[in-house]
Amino acid sequence: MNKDFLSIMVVIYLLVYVTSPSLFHVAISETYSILLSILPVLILVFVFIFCFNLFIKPENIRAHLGQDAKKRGWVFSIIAGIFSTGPIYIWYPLLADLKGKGMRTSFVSTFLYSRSVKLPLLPIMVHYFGFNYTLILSTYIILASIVAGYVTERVVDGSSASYEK
Amino acid sequence: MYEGVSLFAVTAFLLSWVSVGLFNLPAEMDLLGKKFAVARNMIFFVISFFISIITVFTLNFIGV
Repeated sequence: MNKDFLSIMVVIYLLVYVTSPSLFHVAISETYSILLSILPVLILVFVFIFCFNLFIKPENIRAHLGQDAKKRGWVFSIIAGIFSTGPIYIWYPLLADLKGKGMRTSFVSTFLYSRSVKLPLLPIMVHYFGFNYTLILSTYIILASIVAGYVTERVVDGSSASYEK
Repeated sequence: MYEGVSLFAVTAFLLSWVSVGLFNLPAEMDLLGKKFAVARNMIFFVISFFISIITVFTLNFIGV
């Protein structure tokens, strides 16, 4: 899947280069700008992955984010999602790593949905939509992240959570 | 909203924009699994509708 997708993208870029070199240069410049902007968060995520692999054993992950984590797992996932920054795809490798070590599917989904609460953008939302709207929406997003996590786990894993990949 | 678009639509747009990611789907499918990626995006899409509805109803209920 990785190689196919990469090959397709390379072919598309080559086609663009052949048919419209100016558009190719615009695309490459845009890619470069995006890479530069996500680089700090990307480095942070890889530092997290490194630290998790070095210091945290799978038993710890199962204890705090696995089947037995219960309320603690939900709280961790929600807080981590709210405080996570950058584009969503940067967090996929870390989540995949944690999932492989025993993180519940529901907590992965909850983390991803609670990212909808964008802390740095809350003041702007208050400015445009008002404090009440922002507070109510943020509260419902946090509650919905739990629902989203639970439903995702039921759909993906069936009636019981599984630690297997 | 100044042009007459309802708050339902604006809220649903905001939520689905931040939570649903079709362009990220290949990467998500590769790293987190096809079933998870597809299910997550569909569930988040549906939930966005419900959240937008109850948010606006709550605002109306409290009189804002």
